[in-house]
Amino acid sequence: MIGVAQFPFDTPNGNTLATSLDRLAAACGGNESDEADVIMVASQETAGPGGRGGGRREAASELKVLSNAEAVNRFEQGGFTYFRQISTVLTTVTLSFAVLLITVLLTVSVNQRLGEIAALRALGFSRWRVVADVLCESVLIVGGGGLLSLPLGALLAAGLDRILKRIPGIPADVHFFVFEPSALQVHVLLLAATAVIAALYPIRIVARLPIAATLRDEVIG
Amino acid sequence: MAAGPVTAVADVTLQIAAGDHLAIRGPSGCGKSTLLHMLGCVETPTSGTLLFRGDDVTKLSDRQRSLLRLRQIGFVFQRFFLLPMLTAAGEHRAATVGIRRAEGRTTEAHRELLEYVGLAARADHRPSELSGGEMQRVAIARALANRPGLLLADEPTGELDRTTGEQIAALLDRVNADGTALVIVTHDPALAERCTRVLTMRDGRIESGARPHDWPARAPIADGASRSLGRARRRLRRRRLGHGDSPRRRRRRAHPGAVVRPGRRW
Repeated sequence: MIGVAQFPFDTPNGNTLATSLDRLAAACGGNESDEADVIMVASQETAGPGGRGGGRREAASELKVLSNAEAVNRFEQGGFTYFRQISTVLTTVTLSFAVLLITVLLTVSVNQRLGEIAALRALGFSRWRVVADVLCESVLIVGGGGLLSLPLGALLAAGLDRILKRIPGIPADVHFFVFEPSALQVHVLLLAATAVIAALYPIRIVARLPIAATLRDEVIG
Repeated sequence: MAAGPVTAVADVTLQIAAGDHLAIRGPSGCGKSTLLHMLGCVETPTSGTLLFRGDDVTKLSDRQRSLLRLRQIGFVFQRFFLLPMLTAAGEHRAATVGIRRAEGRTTEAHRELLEYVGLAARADHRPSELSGGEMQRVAIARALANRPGLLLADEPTGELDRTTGEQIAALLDRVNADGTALVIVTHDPALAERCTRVLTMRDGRIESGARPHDWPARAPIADGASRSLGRARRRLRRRRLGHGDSPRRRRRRAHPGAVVRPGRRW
């Protein structure tokens, strides 16, 4: 034995071994031609991802040289297209329903408080202040839901990960759901957009509220 | 077919002086509330002039009018319009947002005002835990939060029983006696009689009471506020006679609380 090889993405029941080309040729009877589907080359960090690859590409024009990052990108674009599409569709549907629900909730809430809002305006609350109050309510609802969604999303991701990893041939150390800080940023941005869009209609009601007519209607009604 | 424009108030000339105690009476739909809303700078007349301490309100922006209302005018409504999620102290605190701390946005100021309206013990109660009279007291405290010079009340006792209504009327008398001009729209003759001036409206026009010499004869007041009310009346009488005015008060009289000058139609 001349070394220890690690196969982090091997299947749980895989019988994989590492050897040199000479020993592989000897094991195969010595008649096999020196062919390979994939050649993995470790290069110095200073050489950069294309350091060795450039030389190989010159040596054999049919070689496709990929760095680790390029290989992962290709895999993400090709191998996860289906997951990405499902994720986009689910996100769009969820956000649309969230916007509709919060808009309805805020509109009902605002309509029930028209008298109070008109009274506050009469007492000197500016148009912007009552608008800001409605926007704050929207942000609180969406923010509360967003915070709650983080642990729920983590639990759901862990459950789905377990289910997907039961598919035969999936390497043991492959995870379908991995936390990335950029995902959190996208999450926050989507929540902020949801809060603003959901509040637009109730804000319009509040901003255009005729104070005197509303007070009169509330007393008569 | 669309309804045409309605003339709610027309040919009105009215002046509210600092410390005035005015009732506006008249049948439903005669323009009382519209006039009150104009005095409160909530509505502006389509023609004519509306002055508040010398400033033409019709030329102010919505934001400027909001600031004017916030700092100088208080409103009390028939249906209280308290925010259900806020306590009595919270209502008062919310009304002072936007006002500098030195001008009364302090815990001490909140407590004092609730004591003034007799609700210190109920400061932490929400509207659902208060009676009608207590809710109106909270509404009065909210209206007084920024120490306005003019308090407008639209049927303040309309939702209350007779006894509670008298207590609220006594509180309003006290507010007026302490120097706040008070304009009340009411159908209640007993409440109107407590005022030093009663203005009667019909079909959008003032029938009587626009001028000080139209003041009605006084009715006896049988409540605890009679002493302070007497002081207010004496002060008003001195003011009418031009005696005892301080230089500051003379300046204020030169720029009265609110003036509505005649116009063709509002």
